[in-house]
Amino acid sequence: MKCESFNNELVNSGDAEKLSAEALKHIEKCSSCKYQVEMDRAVKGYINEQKSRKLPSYIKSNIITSIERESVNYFNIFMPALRVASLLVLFFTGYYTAGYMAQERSDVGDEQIVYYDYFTTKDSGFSFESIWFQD
Amino acid sequence: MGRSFDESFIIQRIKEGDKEAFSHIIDRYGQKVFQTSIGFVRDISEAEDLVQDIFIKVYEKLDKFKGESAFSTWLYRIAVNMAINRSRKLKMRSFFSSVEGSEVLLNEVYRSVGNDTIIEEKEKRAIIQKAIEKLTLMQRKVFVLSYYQDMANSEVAEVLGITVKAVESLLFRARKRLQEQLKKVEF
Repeated sequence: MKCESFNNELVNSGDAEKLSAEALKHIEKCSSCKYQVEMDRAVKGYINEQKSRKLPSYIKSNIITSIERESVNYFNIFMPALRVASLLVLFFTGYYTAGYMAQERSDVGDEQIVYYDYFTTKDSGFSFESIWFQD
Repeated sequence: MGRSFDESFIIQRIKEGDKEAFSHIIDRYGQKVFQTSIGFVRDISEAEDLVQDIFIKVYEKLDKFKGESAFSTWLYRIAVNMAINRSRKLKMRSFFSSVEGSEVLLNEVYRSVGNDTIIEEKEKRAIIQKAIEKLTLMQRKVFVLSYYQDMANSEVAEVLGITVKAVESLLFRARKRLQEQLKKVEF
């Protein structure tokens, strides 16, 4: 077995303890590949050591206390009411703004309407102008 | 079957306002979430804080859990995302608090290793930890779930929302990268 294929086998399996007989035979002769196996074991050892740490029991009570405190948080209690209130404010603001704008539009001066008719009439200007001049 | 039935019953109880029922969820997943946190955050007390934050977030977001995936998948997804965010913050903090920065620190370790063939256990751990930190974000996610939580590739794929093939490829590249990092030193 060549070093390259040994390395591929090691990386593919991800476990130095599951190497084939051929690979095991190879590391007996090859010191650099043997070193790769030792490194793999060192990484596993480090991870296992970290994994073996237990979550302290007070963490659980801390979480439960935080959750209970969170549920009496007035902000959370009033949040739904606040959302409804802000929707109502938005609705009425929109309603009154629209009403106001409609009012504004109806207050548009007569002359604007005359201008509009003047420029959109086929026989533009003549009849209006004659009426105005007569007045 | 029994497990998932129990779980959905417990989740229902929590949603109905039974806070005590949430302690069952902590009992069941606390250790696993802790292991994930340790995988991303080096400091143990930081990892403990992170576990608290993760479970509080899970409780707050429980209404959004519709049961489309397994509860554990949903929970681990939150855990991984929060752990990544926390590790980024810590990295930034350590970068600004230390003039050297992690990159320089790693080189420092390598240099000291070069001078002395016998590495103390503490140094060895620091080197491995630094090598793990040098993995890309996705490689690290896959590596932590696979090695720290002993998840099957299919489970990792489900949590991260990627294919099993992608998990295999990321794991392969993560191991390769670790090897390259650790080649620089001699244990």
